[in-house]
This record gives sequence, C-alpha cells and structure tokens, in this order.
Amino acid sequence: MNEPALILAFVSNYFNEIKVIYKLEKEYGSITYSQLKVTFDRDSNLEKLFEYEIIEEMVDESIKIKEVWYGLIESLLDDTSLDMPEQISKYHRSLSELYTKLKSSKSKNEVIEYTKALDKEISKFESQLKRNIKKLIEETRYIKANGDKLDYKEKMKKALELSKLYLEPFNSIMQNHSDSLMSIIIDIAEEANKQRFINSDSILQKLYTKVYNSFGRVEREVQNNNRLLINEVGPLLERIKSESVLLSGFSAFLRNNKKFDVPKVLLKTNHKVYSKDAIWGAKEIWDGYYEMEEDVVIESVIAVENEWMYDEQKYIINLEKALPLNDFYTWIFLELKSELGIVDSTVFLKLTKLIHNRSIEAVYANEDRILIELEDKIMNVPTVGIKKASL
Amino acid sequence: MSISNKFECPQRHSEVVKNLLNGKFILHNEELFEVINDHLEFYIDFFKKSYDYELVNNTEVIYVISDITHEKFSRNIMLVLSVISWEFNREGKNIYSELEKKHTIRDIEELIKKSSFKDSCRGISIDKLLKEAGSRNLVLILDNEKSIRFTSAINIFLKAAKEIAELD
Repeated sequence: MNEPALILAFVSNYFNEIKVIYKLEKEYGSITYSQLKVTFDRDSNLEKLFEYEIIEEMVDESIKIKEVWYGLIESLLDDTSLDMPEQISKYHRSLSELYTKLKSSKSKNEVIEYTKALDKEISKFESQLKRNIKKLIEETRYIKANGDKLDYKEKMKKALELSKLYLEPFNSIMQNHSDSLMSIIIDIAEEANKQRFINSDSILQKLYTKVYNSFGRVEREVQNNNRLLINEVGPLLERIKSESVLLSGFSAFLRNNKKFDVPKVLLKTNHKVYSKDAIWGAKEIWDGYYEMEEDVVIESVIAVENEWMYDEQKYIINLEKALPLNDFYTWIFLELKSELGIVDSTVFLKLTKLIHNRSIEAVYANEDRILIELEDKIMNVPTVGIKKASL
Repeated sequence: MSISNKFECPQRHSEVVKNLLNGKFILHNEELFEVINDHLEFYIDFFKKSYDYELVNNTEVIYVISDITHEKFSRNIMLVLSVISWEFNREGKNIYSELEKKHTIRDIEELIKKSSFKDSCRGISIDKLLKEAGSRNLVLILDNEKSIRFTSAINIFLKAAKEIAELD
C-alpha cells in the first residue's frame, strides 16, 4: 500500500499534467497511451500514475482516470459550474431514465439498484447545484462590491454572462410544466413517499425513505435558491445591465449630442384667445396681400405731432380747479370737447383713468345714469361726484 | 354633424388643460393623473382637435407634445442628466438610486464642474434650467429653491438614452 501523503505529493507536483489528461478524458471519454506519453515526459511518472491507481486501463485498452480522482479533479477545477445548461439536461435525462426503470422494476434487486442509483444521482446534482449557486452569488456580489473599479462595459458583459450561464438555466429547472427537472424531482419524491408506506420489506422501506429525504431536500434547496435568485441576484443583474445600457447611451450622447434626437417637450406658447374671430381677421388680411400681384410697400406712418396724449398731471390740475364736481363724466366730455373739438371713445376712455388719481375721491351719490354722445358711440355712464381726497 | 350646444367636460378640466398646455408632466401620484386617465379618450381627442397636440400617457406620467418642441430645453436636460449619471457611476454609486435622491443645486453644479464632460454643459445655467424643469414637474424644487429631486418624469430621458445605446 502506498503512503497516501506520497500520492497526494505526486498529484500536487504533476497537477498541470493531470489536468491535461483530465481535459482529454472529459472531451473524448478516455485517454490513449500516446497522449499520456506526450503529456508526461518521463516513463517513471507514467508508471506511478498506474501504481498510485490514479488511472486505470480498461478492457478495450483505453485508459481512464479512476472515478474517485476524476470527481476530485472535477470539483477542484470547479469545471462543472461552467456548463450548467449541460448539467441540467444530463440530470434531466439520467433522473427520468432511472425513474422509468424503477417504476418498471420487476424484482426486489432491481428496485434496490435503481433507488440507490437515484439517490446517488440526486446527491451529485445537489452538490453541483450548490456550487453553481454559490458561484453565481459570489460573482454577482463581486460586481456589486466593485462598482467603482469595473468599467460599465465589463460590468455589462459580466452580468450578461452570469444571466446566461446560471440564471436562465436555473429558470429552466423551475419551469412550471410537467417535464421540467423540478417536476421530475417532485414526482420522484412523491412516489418514494408513497412506496415507503406501501412496501412491507424493511430494506425497501429504508431505501425509499432515503430517496424521499434526499429528493425532498433538493426540492427545498431549489425553492430556497429560487427565492434568493428572484429577490436578490436577478434584480441586481437586471439593474447592472440596465445601468450599463443607460451609461453607454449617455456616453454616446455626450460624444456627439447633435447626432441624436431628444424627447419632445412642449414649447410653452401663449394660448390666450383675444377674439374668437381673430384668425379669420388675420386670414382676410393675409389673403388680401397674397392675392395681390404687384409689390406691397408698407410705409411707416409718421406720428401726428399734435396727437392727443394722456397727461395725468395736466388734467388733474384742471380737475382740482373744478372741484367739487357732481358729474365727473360730463366734465371729461366738456374738457376734451373744448380742447379737441371732436371727442371719440378712445380719448374719452383714456381720460376717465383720472378717476384713480389719489388726490381725488369719487362720490357715488345716486344710481342715476346718463348718456354721453361721443363721435363714434354713445356712452352710458353713472353720475359720479368728485371731491378732494381726505388725507 | 350635430353638436350638442352644451359643453360637457370632466371636473377640474380647466386645471388639466392649464397644466398640460404649460408643458407640465402630470405624475401618477397626482390627482389630475386620475382625472385624465378616467377620461382618457376625451382628453386625447380634446388636445388633438383643439391644438393638434398628442397626449402621451404611460403608467408613470401624462403630458402633451406637438411638432413644435422645446428642443433646447430638452437637449440641455439630457446633457445634464448624462453628465451627472456618468459622474455618479464614476463614484461607484448606483445611478438609479442617486437620481431618486434629493440633491442641492450647488452639488449638481459642482458635480458637473469637476466632470471631464463639463464642456458639454458649458453655457447652461443649471439653476435656471432646473427651475424651468421644476415648473414642468421634471424635478421637485425643495428647501427654499436650494435643492431638487428628480421625478419619475425623467424616465422619458432615461428611455431616450437607452434607445441611443441601441442605435450606437
């Protein structure tokens, strides 16, 4: 018997070479002598591989790494976590095959064989699943914790990779249809639960209980992980992806913003309508010009020099001289009449602003109204008295 | 075509019209959002037929647009959002949660000033821009006009950025 420490030391010294033959077997199913010779330069080392029972020769002369070592190397390299979709289809196939065989078993020996095989298979699946989930959580947390160190493009790439490698395959396990891996696991657990009570044979009872326990445990494991993925990892990956898309859009925009459209935002305009017919009035004028064939010359109108202007100071002095007044509007009319000769409503209304001057006060003695005949219209105004404001 | 002589409209109609014509984004947590949503067809028609404006509504916000758009304002908001999001990310912060937080106008100005993209925002008065954004409900103006908080209406700009990412 070789010393275990010696074997481990050998594996440690030649781990790179062992890794090469492991990958060859993983890819081609077995290893050839010539591949071994190329990988290990010294024959003595090759012999040690056989001596330490790391590899074994099969009946057909092909060479394989012994199962125990193969499993160890596989788990050391964490290689299996890279192909979760493949694993799922592998376990999907193996578990349903074994389950079908178990259900059609005709002897106690067959039942023993398939229940043991199911138990072994689900254990392998469980450990790989745990490893995958652990890796997914670690990697996601790494992105989260290193937000400031990773470029947004790297983050995006990593998030997409993680979704594709782990999240999507995991979702496919959970799919809600009778053929999903989860449904098969639940079916086997239920069947084992039923059988452990139906069977009177104590060996079968024990085996079915074992299957029931291990499948039930994996079921709970998957459910728990699913919650974790839904609540934590999924949203985080989505956020990373979404943030990265956002940043790449913003960065393209900042590089050359004129190249891109921006969201439409209403330009505030004055929506006050001064006259419901204003548009028709404007149209009429416009059409008038539009239909004219000769050039239109618009001459600026020279302001009339002696145009009447509202001069509050001048009129308040005049008004104060006339105080007290009984009829303000008639006074306005007479004042303008004596100055201009003709009084139209525009000048009349302008001068009535005088009533707001603070040096005077309006007195509404009665409700009588009078008519004042102007050049362009007749005004119906109240009779308002004016007195000097009491300060 | 026969038209009833009686003009019928939802309650608070004039408030709805005034707000939307002022370029305001009506947010999902406002009462007017419900009023419009309850009479969506009426308002789509009302703005189309009265002003030739399109009423845009989604689960978060309602607003009107027309072919005459306030291009400069929209572009400036997009530039400011681009620069500050870029800076939040550079500081290792989560962009979405930062955009939800309250910021002082001064902090935003500082953030832009120290950014390598500061030239993109040259000539933009951040204070004025954010106040205009406030009048449109894109931001809430807080603390005596010293701070702001972006509202969910800015999602239309974030969506535009994502569309640019796809184009680019």
